[in-house]
This record gives sequence, structure tokens and C-alpha cells, in this order.
Amino acid sequence: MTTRFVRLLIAPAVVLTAGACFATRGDVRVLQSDIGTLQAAAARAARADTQQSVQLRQIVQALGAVSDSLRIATSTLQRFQGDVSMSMHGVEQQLLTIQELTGQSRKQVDALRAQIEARASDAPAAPAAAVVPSGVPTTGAAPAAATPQGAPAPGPYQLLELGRGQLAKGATSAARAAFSDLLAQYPTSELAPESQYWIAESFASAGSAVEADSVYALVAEKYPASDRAPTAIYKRALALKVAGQTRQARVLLQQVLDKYPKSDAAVVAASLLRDLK
Amino acid sequence: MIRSARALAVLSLVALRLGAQDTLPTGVRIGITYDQVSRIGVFVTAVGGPAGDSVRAMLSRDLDFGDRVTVLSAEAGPPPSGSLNYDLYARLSARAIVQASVTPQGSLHVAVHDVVARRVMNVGDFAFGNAAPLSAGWRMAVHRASDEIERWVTGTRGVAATRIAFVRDQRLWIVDSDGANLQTAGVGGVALSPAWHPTGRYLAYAQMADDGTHIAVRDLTNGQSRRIPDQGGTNITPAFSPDGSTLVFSAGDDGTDLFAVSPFGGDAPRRVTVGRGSPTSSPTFSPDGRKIAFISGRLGHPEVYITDADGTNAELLTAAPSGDQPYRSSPDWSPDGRSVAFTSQEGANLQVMVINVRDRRIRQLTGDARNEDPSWAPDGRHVVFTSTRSGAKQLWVLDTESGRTRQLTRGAGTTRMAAWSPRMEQP
Repeated sequence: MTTRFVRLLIAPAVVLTAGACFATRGDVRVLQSDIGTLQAAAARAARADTQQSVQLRQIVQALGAVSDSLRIATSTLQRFQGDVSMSMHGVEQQLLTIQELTGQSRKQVDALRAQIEARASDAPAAPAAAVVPSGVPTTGAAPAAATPQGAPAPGPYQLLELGRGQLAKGATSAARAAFSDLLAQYPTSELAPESQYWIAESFASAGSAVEADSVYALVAEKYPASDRAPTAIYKRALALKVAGQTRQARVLLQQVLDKYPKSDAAVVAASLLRDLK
Repeated sequence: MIRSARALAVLSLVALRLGAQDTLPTGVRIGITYDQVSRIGVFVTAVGGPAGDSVRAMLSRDLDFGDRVTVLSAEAGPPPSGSLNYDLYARLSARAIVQASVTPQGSLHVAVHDVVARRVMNVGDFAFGNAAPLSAGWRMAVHRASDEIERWVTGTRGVAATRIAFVRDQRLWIVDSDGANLQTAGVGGVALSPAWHPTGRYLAYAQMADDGTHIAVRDLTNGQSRRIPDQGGTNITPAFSPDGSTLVFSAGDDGTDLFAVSPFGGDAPRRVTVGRGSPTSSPTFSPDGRKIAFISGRLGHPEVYITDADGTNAELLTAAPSGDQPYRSSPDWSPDGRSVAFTSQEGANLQVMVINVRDRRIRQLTGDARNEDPSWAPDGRHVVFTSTRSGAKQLWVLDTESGRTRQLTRGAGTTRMAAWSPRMEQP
């Protein structure tokens, strides 16, 4: 069966091969034309490839330029950000310096307070009265005032000394803070008038005459029985004299003489009053 | 290594062969003294012109008395001319060279050279005016030059151009800071407690008269004295405020207090302190004029107190230990405002002490013999005081930083109550 099948295939192949040996000249011309067409198409395709390649190269170059520009822009932006960051850092540093300077004195007060509190907490059950000199009662004070941590707070004398110390150094704000603490924590202490007076002195030391005058006035009004009341009025009179308001100064000086004739302030007030008449 | 070099330098008397115009003559012996304190070496060259030798001697002495530089100088030789041999001076450990000359126009021309930088650091001319060589005015011009040289070299002005007023045998005298030019203040009668006006033109003092003691102000330029309206009784220990507009003094009969008045007329004296019968005296202003330190016996013994200049806020400065009752007197506020010098009884003697105004710490400045009445120089570093360390009461000057002392006055008579003047600015 196989042999017969092979014979069947060979027959048409022989026919076809014989037919090809008999191609005409026209057939050849057509074939040449087709080849030419194919070559032209191939050449066009090649040209098109070249143009696309050039375009692609241009696109790549353009993209590269854009990338460079972006890189430069990015770099510039980063530098700008760095500069801004540095500037901000500088500003922050300056602010820190300013804060440090302004807060330095206050920190010293706090540090001192901390030391005092630490010592007080080290002492076995040290009462608040222990920090007050003997013979000086803490009338109406808030003894046993305590910090949130439980350590005893500084006493009024300690706060007064702290404020005086700061004032001696010229740290008027820190001094005022200490005096204000005293008033806040021990409003009924016998040192309250003294503290109020030194608040006025701190303003005067800072050159804040108006504020000083108002606090001197407060001392005289709020604590008329204190030793500082005549001095506060005398201080107000001196400020008025310096300001050229002689008549008002005389009124206050006379007030010192009338209300507090036995005080030291009355002695110097009388002398100044004679000078102003 | 450094110590041995220093030790070697202490002993070195260097003979140099110096020939050219920019070096020193052959055979000159140069002495170099090193001390333990690191100071800038300053070479003062020979000075040409009239009284050139005196100029160089004064410049050298003033710089030495300033205690801030080590003075180097050749013993003799002509002044250098032309360019200086910086290498040579560097080998002599000089960091600066002072080259001065007296000009035909009647001034002292000074050039200071920086040896390290090899260039002229600064130049200046100091007019003698019409002052004759070696006269008081001429000497003060040289002192001013010294002070400027010290400022150029160290950054701090010297105090050579100052004077010291004092009491000798109850009369007022004035001497230059170098101990020269001693002369009376021209005040007749018994005078005490001299005090300088901040301009250096006026001198306030207490004068004893038949009707008590009074405060007077003398104009040193014309010799005119003016009596200050006082309180009767005893009037002593005047002191000018730093701006010169106020004179504070001690006055009273039964106890004394401080009173303030204008030194040139005007208002009546105004009371500053309230001693209530206790003695109060010896005021001295803080440099800002806002406070006054003074002596008061209100505790039963004299101590130093501080008060506001308006008379308020008086408080004890020199708190004595419990039970101790020392004698303290003669406070003088330092020009930098930080401390007050005073006299304190220490055992059987008196000593000069200084107290820090802020923390109240006390430092003893003297310990040899009896020392009292301190007065600060304008530089806040030197103090003049009375001492018996030479046998009699004389004035001595102490450098409070190095502890070096020198005797300012000599001669017969008890010398005390020194007051150091401000810098004399005007020729």
C-alpha cells in the first residue's frame, strides 16, 4: 500500500518540474519588476528607519537636555532649600540665643530655687519656718507650700534674697519674677510690702519710671502701715522733682511728713522740702 | 625648658656688638629682666631733641609703673634713625618698640612699632605747649604720651597722667603719679580730706577754722577757693559725684550725717543719710552715681554702708562676724564699680581690704605694717594708701593684680589721706 501511495505523489511532481522548464520571457520580466519593487520598498524602509533613528536620537538628546535642566533645577532647588534651611537654622539659633539671654537670669533663679528645694527636701521634715530667721514670724504666710513634686517651696525670705541678688546683678526682670513669686505664694507675709517695694525698685533700676511710680503708689496704698510706705512716697516725690513737677513733689513730701513724721524718709523729705521752697 | 630659658634670661646681661644706624653702639650693655607674669616686652629707644634722656626715662618709668609691660631699654646711645632692625629687637624679646623724639615745633612725637608684624603700629604727637622742659606741664605731656603708648600696646590706658593729693602735716599737697613734681595745693591753714572733681580741675577739702570746719572747693587753674554752704558744726570728708554736679560731705554737731549740695552754688545742702545721732562720714560714689558707700557707727562701731544716692535703701556692706566689733573706715568705690576698698582693723593693726559689692567677699590687700586710707587709680587696678612700712607714714602704690608695691612719697612729716585724681586730659 505504501508503494502505491509513493507512486501517486511522484507523478504530479514530474509534471510540475517539466512545466517550470518551459517559463516565458514575460514571466521573467514580471519577476524582475517584482524584485525591483521589493528593492525600492526595502530602500524606502531603510530611509524611514534612518529618519526615525535621527528623530529618536534628537528626542533622546532633547530628553537628556530636559533631564539636565531638571537636574540643575533640582540642584538649585535643593541649594535654595538648604539655604533656607540654614537661614531658618540661623534664625532659630539667634532666637535660642535671645531666649537664652532673656531666660538666663530666670533660669538662675530657678536653679537657685531648685537648690534650695533640694536642700529642703534633704533636711529631715524641715518646716518652712526653718528658713525664716529667728524672731521673725511668718505671719499669715503659706508655710509648707510645696512644689508639684512635693519638695518644700522656698520661703519668703529666700525669695526676697533671690530677688535682691538678681537686682544687684542688674537682672531686673528676674528680680521682679522672684518678688512676684513671693507675693503670689505668700500674699499675707510680712515681707509682702517689702517685695512690692522692690518690684518698684526693679522698674526704677530698669529705667521704667512710669511703672516704678505706679508700684510705689501701690506700696503706699496697699501697705500704709509698712516701713516702706513713706520711702515709696518719698521716691515718687523725687521722681516728680526730677521731672520738674515741683508742686506735686512738695505735696508728696508734705504727705510723708504728715503721715510718717518719725520715719527716716520724713527726715530726708523735710530736707528736700526746704530745698524746694 | 621655658623655666630654664626664663632663668637664663633673668641673668642675661647681653653685650652686643651693634654698628649700623639701626642697631645699638658697640659696647652697650643691655639688661633684660623677666618676671613670672607674662608681659609684653617693650623697648624704649633713645630719644633725640631737648631733654631726650628725661623723656626716655619718664616713658620707661611710666610704662614700668603701669605693671602691664616689661620695659627694655639700652643704657645709652644715640636715637635710632632709618628703618629699625626688627630681628634684633625680637631677639631682645621686644614685642613693641617705642621710638620718640622731641620736635622743633614743641611736641613729643611718638611712634610705636610692632616687632612681630615688622611695621609701625601707631604714631602720635603730644604737645608741650609753652611748657619749659622738665616743668610740670612738660612732664604731664610726657605722662600722657606714656598712657597712650600703654593703650596702643596693651589696649588699656595707663594712669601716668594723674596726680595724687594728700595731707602732710595737716596741709594739702599734690604729687604726680610717678612721685615727681611735689607741690603744695596752695591752701592756707589746716586742711584735710582732699577729693578730686572728675575733671581734675577742682579739689574739695575740709578746712579747719576758728568757727569749726568747712568744706571748700579750690580751682587749681586759678587758685581760687570757694566755701560751700554747710550745716554748722563739723563739716568733713567731701566727695564729688561722678558727673561732678554734686558734692556730698559729712556734717553735724551731735552725730554727723551726709549732705548733698551743688559744688558751684545753688541749692542748700540736702540730707542724704539719717544716722540719728551716730557718726556718718567718708562718702564715696559708685561710678554710675546711683549709690554712695559711707562709714556709719549706727551699730555701735564703724562699718561700711551703702545707700541710694537719694538717701533711701541704706544697708550694711561690711557685716562683721557676730560679737566682733572691728573698726572700719575710708571706703573708696572702685572705678569699675565692682568693689569698695576700705581700711579694717585686723588685730592691733589697720589693713587695706577690698569687698566685692555683689557677693560681699572680702580680700585683704596689705599685711605688712599699718596700712590705711586706700584710694583707687582710674585704671581700677592700682591703689594708693598710707603705710608705716618704711618707718613713717608715707604713701605707697599697690598693684592689686600682681601685689607689687612702690613708695610714692618720701621726706619728713606724716603723710596720709591720699586721693588719686582722674586722668588729666587737658594740657
